Amino acid sequence: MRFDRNHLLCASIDAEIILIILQARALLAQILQAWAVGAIVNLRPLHSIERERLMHVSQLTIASGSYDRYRASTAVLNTYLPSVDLPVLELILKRLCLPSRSDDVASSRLEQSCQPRERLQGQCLDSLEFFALNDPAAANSWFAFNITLPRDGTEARSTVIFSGRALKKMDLVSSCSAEKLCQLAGALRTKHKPLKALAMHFMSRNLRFLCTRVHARSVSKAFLHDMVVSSDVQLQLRSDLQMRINFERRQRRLHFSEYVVGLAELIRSLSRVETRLLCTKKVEDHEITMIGTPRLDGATPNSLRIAWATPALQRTRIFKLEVADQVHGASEASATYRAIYRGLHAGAIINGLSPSRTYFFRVGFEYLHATCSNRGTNMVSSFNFSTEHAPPFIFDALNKGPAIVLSKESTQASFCASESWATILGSAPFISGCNAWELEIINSSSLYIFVGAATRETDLATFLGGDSHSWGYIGDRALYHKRTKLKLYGERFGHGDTIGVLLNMDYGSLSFSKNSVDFGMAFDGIMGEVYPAIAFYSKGQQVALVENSFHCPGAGDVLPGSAPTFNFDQSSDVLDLMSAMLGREPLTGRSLNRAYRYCQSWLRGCYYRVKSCCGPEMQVKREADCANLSVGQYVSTPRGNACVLGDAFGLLWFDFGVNNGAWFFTYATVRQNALRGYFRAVNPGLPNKEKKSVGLHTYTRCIDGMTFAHFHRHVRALSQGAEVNKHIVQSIDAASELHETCAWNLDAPTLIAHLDDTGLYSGVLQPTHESAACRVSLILMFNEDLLRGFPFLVNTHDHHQQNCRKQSAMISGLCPHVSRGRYRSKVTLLRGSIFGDTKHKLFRLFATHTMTRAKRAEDDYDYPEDLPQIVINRLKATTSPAMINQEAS
Amino acid sequence: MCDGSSYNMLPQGHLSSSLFGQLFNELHFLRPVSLRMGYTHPMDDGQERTFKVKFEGEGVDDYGGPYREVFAQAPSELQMINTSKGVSKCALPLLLPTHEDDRFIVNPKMISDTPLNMYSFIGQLMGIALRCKV
Repeated sequence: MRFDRNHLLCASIDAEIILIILQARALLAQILQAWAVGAIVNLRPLHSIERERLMHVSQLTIASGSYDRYRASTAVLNTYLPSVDLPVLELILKRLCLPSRSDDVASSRLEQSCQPRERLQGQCLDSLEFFALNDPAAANSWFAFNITLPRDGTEARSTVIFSGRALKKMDLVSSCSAEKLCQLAGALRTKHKPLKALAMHFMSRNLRFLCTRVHARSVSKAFLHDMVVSSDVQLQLRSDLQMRINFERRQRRLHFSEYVVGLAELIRSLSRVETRLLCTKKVEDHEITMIGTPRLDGATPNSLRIAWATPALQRTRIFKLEVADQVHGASEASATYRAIYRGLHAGAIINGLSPSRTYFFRVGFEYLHATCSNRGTNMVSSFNFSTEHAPPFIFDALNKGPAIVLSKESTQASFCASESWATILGSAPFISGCNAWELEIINSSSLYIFVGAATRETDLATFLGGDSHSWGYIGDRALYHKRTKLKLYGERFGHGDTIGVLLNMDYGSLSFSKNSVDFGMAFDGIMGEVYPAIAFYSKGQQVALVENSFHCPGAGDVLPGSAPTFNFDQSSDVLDLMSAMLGREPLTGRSLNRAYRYCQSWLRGCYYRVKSCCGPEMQVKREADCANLSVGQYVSTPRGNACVLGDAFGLLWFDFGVNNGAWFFTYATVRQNALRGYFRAVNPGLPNKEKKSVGLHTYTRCIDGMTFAHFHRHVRALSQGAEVNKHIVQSIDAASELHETCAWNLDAPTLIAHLDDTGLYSGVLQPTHESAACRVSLILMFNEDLLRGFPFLVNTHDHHQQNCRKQSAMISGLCPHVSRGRYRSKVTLLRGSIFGDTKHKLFRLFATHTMTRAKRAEDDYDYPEDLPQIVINRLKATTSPAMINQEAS
Repeated sequence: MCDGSSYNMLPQGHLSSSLFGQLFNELHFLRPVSLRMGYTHPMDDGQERTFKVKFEGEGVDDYGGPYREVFAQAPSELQMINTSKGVSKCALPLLLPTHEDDRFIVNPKMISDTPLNMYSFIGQLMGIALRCKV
């Protein structure tokens, strides 16, 4: 055994103490084990090594002046090892502590070490943060550092639980300060899982404590105000959360990890504390002052830190920062602003941005105490900032096939297996613009190498063009798509060549060049979120992204409403709505507003729900001026004939009749190509999809009567309605089956008439159409939210082994505030309000995400080895007595 | 002889004398990971599959048809309504017909290990059918 004394001392004293406790525990465990098998400590002389260790530990204990606390910790030890007889434990401890009693120095140290508990706790937190921020590796070694126990994750975890329990016994009040919360938020950044759990635990406990205190109004307002408003906690947490969400999204998770869900819940409770705190204040009249000019506090290739100045007086306004989701080529006026930050702090950190791109923001505020009716947000100033210059994409370590190794900056990829295909994608997708980049083939022993593009659904363990989600150009000059060799194309390429890729997402075409010689268009009809991609086959192949070759105007474009734009705020909205539907909490201002707007637009019926090629379904406006095209018309387009769906986000959407959904053209493209003969009506020989005038009809009586106050009143009545909701949902399901459309696309008159017909509705509530419409629109919104916020709601673990389950139970036992299954139980309770449609979609989602892929055999026509093959003897089955009986009868 | 009460234990011979039983014998011990498999052979015309079927003694290659046939025949065996004198006559009386037309209930007498495993296998089979869109 060796102690690195310096290592120990560089941590704070308390870190050392915990370490010593832990080591003592490890030793004790060992001794106790020996004792258990029959060698009684009293009788058997200790091994010399063991004695040395004991001496060492006790010396260290004394040296650090922590004798008192060491004694105190034996109480913890007792709880930790409950199966051990107390006398035996004491006996062992006596032996451990024996030298210290005779030591004069120790007794003097003993007096010194009677620190107040808060200080001890503070120091513990200090060291936690220190390890978390400065050196994750050190944090790891700190927790894994012990004498006898193996250095694996599970031990580290139990170690943290152990020290967590020791810390848990301490008083909480002292740590409820902004500074402490900030420290803990810092500790959350560690890669060390147990440490995270511990920090999470402390934060949630502190917040719970705060909530109860605020509720009882027994905490000084000044303290709370300092804690909530002036601190950076939320800002930091939100930024962490968004970063983590982006990361997990790239991992193609079906649902987010417990950590993300816990963090979201933390932020939610933090903002609740804020709201409650501010609600206790008297409403004062504020003079309207403008928000100061926003300034850029820092920029990296992927994030911006923005702050704006505000007059000190304005404490009860909530700031709102919005970013414009723009698609390259979409009409300027229709830029959709999306809220990315909402809170009390005059600043925000925005993560997950694209490099060298200018983002348009606007910032505004709303009054917390404003009555609902005049509760508009005043978006005051708009401004723009640019992220730092960097390549628009690199190779993505999270989206790569087997045996691909990346360079440190991820600008080079090499292959270390041989004779098998593996694909790697770029880190950013393109949905628009004419994007070009170059790849240098540094090393390749064969012509078997692909360049091209793919969507995320592609199989990464095969070649590019190996399925319908990828398009590839192979080095022996051929084009592949859908596992088929389409045609010969261009020239052979390999070692030393530079291949240029031109992905024109405005038209959906892909073309290639070799050493600046253009070969012309290779593929067309490409839709969706398309990633740059390459595929390797031979050992040692290496490809690099050519610096300064990028010309990607479409980089960083996102579709409004697509998955990357769904952030924490929206998930919080979903949870608000859920609580409201369960009748636990009233629907609060913002959500109420949202619901009102949703209800209005539903009643007007001008939106139609379609599925886009990537991401979730979206609303398409059907009344828009569609550049001389009428909705429902079949037209010719550069991507083939298609049906015009309508306008959304300043783009024109078309149904191409393929399974994976609708896709768009920008207005500019439409105008340009109209001159070239495209976008003319064609006769598809199919029945026109448009049915009578569904959706364009307005239900005027309802809309006119529905003011915000009315809406509010109806919504308040919702709390008694779990049963009613169930009936409504059944009726909606029946109606959508009858009209052969999804529940969202049933227009208000049809649906309400259906409710009247079935008579389900009139019996249970006052049978006004208004309240029916209100309730139905809420259920519709809830279902839509549920689909979008789903990753936040499911919170289960892959429990392969009992052992694993136990471990995670221990961890989650540390975090009672964010205990598992909270959301799940909510979903279960709200089951009656979920459409058949939604359920079906969720089922499909689960089915696709849990599907196991068979490893493809060398030859396509061979069956994979791991596919079960079974032999059935039908003759034997049909001659069974049962069959004979049946035939006889 | 064939009523539910006498089938607390299912002898091996009976299992192989029904298609469902044969399926059960071949598949039930597989890990769930294997049963979640989705594979499309180029000749299968898009039909996803979790296993490949060979019909012994019949000159038929499985390009989706036999696979689907399995999912058609196995449930029809289980739902065989053959009531003479109110007694179900079926090799595997796992499901009992009810007085309503086309509804079945589980047989409350089948509580020994093998039938219980079979019930869970029915669930797995339904899962495979849904996943592969048979």
